[in-house]
Amino acid sequence: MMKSRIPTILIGLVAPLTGIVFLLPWWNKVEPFVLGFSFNYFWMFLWLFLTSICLFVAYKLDPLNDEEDW
Amino acid sequence: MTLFVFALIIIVALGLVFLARRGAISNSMDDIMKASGSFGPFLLFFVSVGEIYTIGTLLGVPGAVYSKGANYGVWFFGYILLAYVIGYFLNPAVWRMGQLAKAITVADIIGWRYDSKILQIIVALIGIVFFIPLIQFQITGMGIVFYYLDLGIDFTTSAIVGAMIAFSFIAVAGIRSSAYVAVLKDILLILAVAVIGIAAAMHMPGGVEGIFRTVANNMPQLLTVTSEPVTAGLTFTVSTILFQMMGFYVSPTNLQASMSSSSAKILRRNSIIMPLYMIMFPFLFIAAYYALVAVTGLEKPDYALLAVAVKLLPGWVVGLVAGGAALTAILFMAVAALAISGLFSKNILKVMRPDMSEIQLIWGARAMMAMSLTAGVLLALFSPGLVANLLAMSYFGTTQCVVPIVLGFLWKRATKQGICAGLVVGVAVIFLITTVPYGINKGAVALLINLAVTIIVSLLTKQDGKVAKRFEDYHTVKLKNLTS
Repeated sequence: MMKSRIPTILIGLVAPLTGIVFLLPWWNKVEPFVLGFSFNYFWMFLWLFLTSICLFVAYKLDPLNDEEDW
Repeated sequence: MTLFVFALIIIVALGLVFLARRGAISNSMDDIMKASGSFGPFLLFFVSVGEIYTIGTLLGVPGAVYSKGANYGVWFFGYILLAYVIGYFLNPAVWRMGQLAKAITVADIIGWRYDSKILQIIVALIGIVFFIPLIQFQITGMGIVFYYLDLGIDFTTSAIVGAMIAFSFIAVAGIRSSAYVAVLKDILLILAVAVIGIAAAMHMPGGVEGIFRTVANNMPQLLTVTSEPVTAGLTFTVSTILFQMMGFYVSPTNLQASMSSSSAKILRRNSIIMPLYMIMFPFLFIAAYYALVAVTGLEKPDYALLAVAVKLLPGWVVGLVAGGAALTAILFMAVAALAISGLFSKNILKVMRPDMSEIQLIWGARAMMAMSLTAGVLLALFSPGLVANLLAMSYFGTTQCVVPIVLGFLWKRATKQGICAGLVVGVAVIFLITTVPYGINKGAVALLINLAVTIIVSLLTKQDGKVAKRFEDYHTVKLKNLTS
């Protein structure tokens, strides 16, 4: 009856969780410095913007927005 | 000058509250708690963010980094950012259930979904008990501002005056005042934090990179997430992020803010902007690491941000910071007291005494507002706790409501007995267990036990037809067919 919500969930939920939590052992390092920040802080601040973009794309793909009450 | 700017900010805020009064209906519970669900995207955005960045963010984040480095820094940043991600999916669902339940509070929703008065009371009690530490922590934070900036007001006076202003906010215009003041407070907060962060970078040779290089060379253990100490190491950080991100939007205030939305779509759209609103965090971290390098030996870590401000900025900017900080604390106290009073009057008083009139309930709510603020003041005066610990403690309890809410739209077979048992056992675990191996967040352990008990007891008990019907309703009913 409805388009699949899987792409929305992958981009809106799985991607940010992966970037911030699951990849933590990888990004938890000082070098290289980027824009003045140690790598871990650069990575975190980058995700501030990436998360917003992920949610924007998720919103665009989200079939629930076509439903009246959802 | 500091005091003058500070006083000016508080006066402007009080003026805004009286402006917010227009359109408010003081004898309607619905209006006091959620402005009759009339908030469009703009006010809703401010009412929800207005309750997120508290004095805990402003003083607590730099303080946490100052004492525990990236372990706590990543915790605070990660859980808030991911909470928005969870919120994108969770909030519209909760909002929809709230519409069907004609809900204001988290206890309304859970009580409706499982058709249980006892459950309503249990959820209300959890909300009340675990939210008072948050009021306490605003007062403690405000006391820190007054003490450190030496504004000539002692801790006891500032606590009492702050609580009284908070009470007047909600007594005048309910949640509407929160939305209006939040606009002012958030502009101040972002400005203040940005100015402090930029000043820190400008006063350091090599700018931002200079600060982070110095930390990397002199105290590298504070720059990345470490596995030591076990109680605040990597496992703690990750488990706490995962746990608190789930609990964020079911906490009484944040859930109540979602309820004031006029549609599900607005909530989703707001989630897109929320991460950008964390833009103050880079500045907070710059200031915190600058403090580690340049303002060593602070008596209390929570002074870090203020110490940087006092060291680098003129008096009137410090006044701006202090005003923003105090306003944040007062506003959050107001909203927390409002949420607690809603839980008390709607989900405890009304359930036990169904014959009470709306006016009587509103008076009950006002009495509870005053009582919860008083409790917060007394706790702050007589049992001072660490800011970060108070926050964690609050989450242990309020997050337990994730189980009934999420199972509420996922599992038809969940019974009221199962949900009750799960919540009671979950909360009992929090009080009974003192330490958890590997530094795993205690609340997360309680949540898993809560879930397990809920499932087992649900499978062992017979499902009630009405409870199953509510699950069906959630998935099928058209909202426009509901008569208000």
